[in-house]
Amino acid sequence: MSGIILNQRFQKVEEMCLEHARILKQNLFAGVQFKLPKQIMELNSEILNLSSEWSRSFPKNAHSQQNAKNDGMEDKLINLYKQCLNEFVTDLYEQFKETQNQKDITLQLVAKHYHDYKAYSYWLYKIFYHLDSSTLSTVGADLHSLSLEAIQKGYFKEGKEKLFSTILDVLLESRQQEILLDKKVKSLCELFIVMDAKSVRLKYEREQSMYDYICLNFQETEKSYRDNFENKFIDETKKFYKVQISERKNLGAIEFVRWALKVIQLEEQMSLESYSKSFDKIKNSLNQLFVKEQAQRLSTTTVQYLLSVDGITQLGELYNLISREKDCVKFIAEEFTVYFLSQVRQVNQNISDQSKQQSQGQNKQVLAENLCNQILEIMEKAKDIIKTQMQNSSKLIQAYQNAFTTAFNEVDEAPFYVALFADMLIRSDKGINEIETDIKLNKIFTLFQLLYQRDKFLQHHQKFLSQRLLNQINQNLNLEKNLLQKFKGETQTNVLAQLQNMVNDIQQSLRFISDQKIHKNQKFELSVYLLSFGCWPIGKIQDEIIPPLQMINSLSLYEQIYQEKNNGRILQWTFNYGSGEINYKIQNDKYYFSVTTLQIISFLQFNQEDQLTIQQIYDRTQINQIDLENSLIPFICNKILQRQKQDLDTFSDKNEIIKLNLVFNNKQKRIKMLPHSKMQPKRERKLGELTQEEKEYEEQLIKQREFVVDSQLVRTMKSKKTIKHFDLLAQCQQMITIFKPDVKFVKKRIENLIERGYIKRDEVDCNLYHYLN
Amino acid sequence: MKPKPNQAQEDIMIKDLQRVFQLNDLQAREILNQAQWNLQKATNYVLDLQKSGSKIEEQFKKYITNGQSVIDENGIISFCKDLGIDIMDPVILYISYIFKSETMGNYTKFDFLYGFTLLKIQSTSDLKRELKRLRDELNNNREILKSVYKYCFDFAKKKNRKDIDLPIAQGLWDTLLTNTFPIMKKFMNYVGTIEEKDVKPISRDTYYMVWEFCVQIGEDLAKYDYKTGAWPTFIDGFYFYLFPNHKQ
Repeated sequence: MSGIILNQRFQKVEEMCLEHARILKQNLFAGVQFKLPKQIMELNSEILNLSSEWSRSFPKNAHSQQNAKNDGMEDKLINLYKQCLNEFVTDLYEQFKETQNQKDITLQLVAKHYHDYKAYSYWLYKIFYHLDSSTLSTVGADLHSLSLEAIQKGYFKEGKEKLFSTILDVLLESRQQEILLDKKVKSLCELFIVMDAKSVRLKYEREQSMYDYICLNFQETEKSYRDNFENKFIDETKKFYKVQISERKNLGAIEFVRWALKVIQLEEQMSLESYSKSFDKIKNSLNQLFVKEQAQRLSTTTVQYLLSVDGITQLGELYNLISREKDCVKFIAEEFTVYFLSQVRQVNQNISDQSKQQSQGQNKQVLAENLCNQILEIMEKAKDIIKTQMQNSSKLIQAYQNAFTTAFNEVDEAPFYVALFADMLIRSDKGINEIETDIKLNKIFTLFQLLYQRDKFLQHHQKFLSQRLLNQINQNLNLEKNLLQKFKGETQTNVLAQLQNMVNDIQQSLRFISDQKIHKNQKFELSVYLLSFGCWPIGKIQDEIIPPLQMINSLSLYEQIYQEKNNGRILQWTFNYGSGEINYKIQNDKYYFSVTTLQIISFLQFNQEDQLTIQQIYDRTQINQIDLENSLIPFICNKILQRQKQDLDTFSDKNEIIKLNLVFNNKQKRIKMLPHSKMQPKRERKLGELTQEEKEYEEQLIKQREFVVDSQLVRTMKSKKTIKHFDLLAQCQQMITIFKPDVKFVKKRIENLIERGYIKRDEVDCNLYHYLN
Repeated sequence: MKPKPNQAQEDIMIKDLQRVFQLNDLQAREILNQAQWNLQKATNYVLDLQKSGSKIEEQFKKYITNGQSVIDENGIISFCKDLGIDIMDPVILYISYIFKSETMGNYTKFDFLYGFTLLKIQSTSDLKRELKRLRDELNNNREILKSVYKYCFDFAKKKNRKDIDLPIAQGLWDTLLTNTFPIMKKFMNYVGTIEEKDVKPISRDTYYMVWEFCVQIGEDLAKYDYKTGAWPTFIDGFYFYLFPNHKQ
């Protein structure tokens, strides 16, 4: 076919096309549903034919230039396509220009324009789609991209300022009213999102009757989006809120928090709805304005106040806002620490004041109870807040630990108080209710974890444990074991093994008793606790004491039975411990006295004679003066025995006679006569100075600590061979949990190790140590 | 070329040499070292010393009282008098260092033999002439001062102990260090404030570190790191004496 005929046909196509385009345009403007007329399909095939026939007749070869007169059919068709588009765009733009700054009208109009244009492009595409592959090679863009280009050049480029300010205006209204308004703003934003894309597809959602440009390569649009929309938008947003915030400077903190959270929620919602591409950046900007810049101010004014008035939920609200920036939680944590530090210090001060007023041993229990319970209460409150309001934030937990650990250890006698408190709790436990017992153990353990001087605590605990194990009728061995197990999980020390041995001793002794039934058919009922030497804080074993005849048989029998089972062990009787009961018959009455072993031994001497001198009692029993005083004076005070001197005088005169009161009579038949501080001679004790015993304990503690640090140092040196002073120090302090060695202490041990030849300093670098084998 | 002997072999050779001659460990070690640990060579050297040292022996005899084998404190007093120096003069410590004398308060015959020979002198009056040179060396040569300072620890230390008493350390610091290091004046004040019950002997490490303190820190106390530095606690004590508010 000749070019002329083809061109004629082209003319026809052109006419038809433009005609239909106009009809389509009018329909769209009128918002009328339209149907594609059959001619559209004819147009489509005609275009195809034109194009293919032309290329058959006038094939392109590599060398031929495009003849201006003899335009390629394809070029003509492409231009026709472009023309249709441009006509439409021009019309749109005319309408757009006419709108003033009436945001609602503009909004509606543009939204409709965009929709209409997309619809138009889509149907136009249907007509021309055969050209798609060739446009790509000739013009470098496919049909959809061309359509986008058209609207970009003819509409968006000129109108984008106006579009942008329309968006801002609409959103401003949203912000002022604090609710999300018009959703149409989304289409305007879309314009910004897709502009500059070089490769797009136009999609049609039949159900929603929506058309969308789908960008195939987002990177093409990035710059345009950012420059034309995102950056400007965020700037405006920031400006707006900066003003808003400064207007609310005098607002109460919680009101501010609530407002901030509302604002943030709104902005995020708006963003998700219309310009979700910018969500992250907007979130960051809001966090910058509302959180990073406000966190410190808000925290320092509110946290402590809210804690003091129990404003728990408001704390939660504050946390919700500030935790949007993880780093800013530290401000809350700092205030938290300060508050609880001062709370605990107040308790400490109260306890210290109380303790200065009284000095009796009895009241130490009250002090311990007050201190421990109050602190546990405060800890409970703090923990609860962190759990329920602050999502167990690790920074808050750290602050919690720091505050309580620091403040609690400022109490000088903290280890003693905790041990005493533990003693009280354990003694009061009947072992019935497991849950209650667990709560008690956890209380003790919580306080234990706070302590620095754990070795001191264990020293006291050992003493109390010994008393409990030896004197209580119903010991709670399982409870003791559980508690020790908890301690074991927290720290390392030999002392724990000792404590566990103590409990085991009692357990085995009880088992032995029930196994052997030793006290069957004995005039003198005996039950024995067998204690492992070295584990018990017993002190001197007074095995030089001479038991009375009645006892000796039972004691020997026990020894015999035990040796049969465990050959070769050395047994020593600790008469200075233990307790029992004396049956006393006088004047046809029978009395039962609760007494200690020493009391039994000394009083039973009066079975032989009605009266004895102190010297005689001593000769027969070998009990020392002080113990004798403590043992017999209760008898004297209760009128069972009589003496020549005053009741509470010492036994310094060895010739003084003590005799039985042969007319003793008491309504009470069961009398407790254990040694008591009120039934003793007055003995000098300087207040404030440590007794001999306490001094020994202190020395023992220091030696233990030196050993702990030495072994840790040597262990570290052995493995590292060469190490800097600072690292050695840090390693040491880190690894030792049984107490908190300070820098001076560790340094002194290092010096000691240098002197003993375990370590030497490097010759050149004084801060470096070498291990010497 | 004989291989270099190890620690144990060296000790054996020192003992061997000492079996024949009356000299102390330091001197034996030094002589053997010079002789490349050839026992024969070393022996010959000592024999030569003894042969040519008759005049020196005479000088030595001047200061001993009848029957003694070593110069005692009285002898040293008159020795210093002859030299025209005070007994607390640092130069006498330098001289002892050259002699490689073992114990403060005594000079042995070999001290004199060995030391005088090294100094290439024969008499006390010769030594007197050398004093100025020796003094200058001591004051101007840091390395020499350091060696003498370190040597003095063992010199002043009793045989059965590993440390020296504080007053003795005080004396050494005063004699050797206060003239060269101005900070030592304050240091001596500090030592003076230590209470009786807190007085403890000074270990070798602490003693050596006082030198390091003078050299590394001196007047510039801002450099002193009491938190993470490896300074002995005795010197920390000095720092807290100067800055009580830095204690935590």
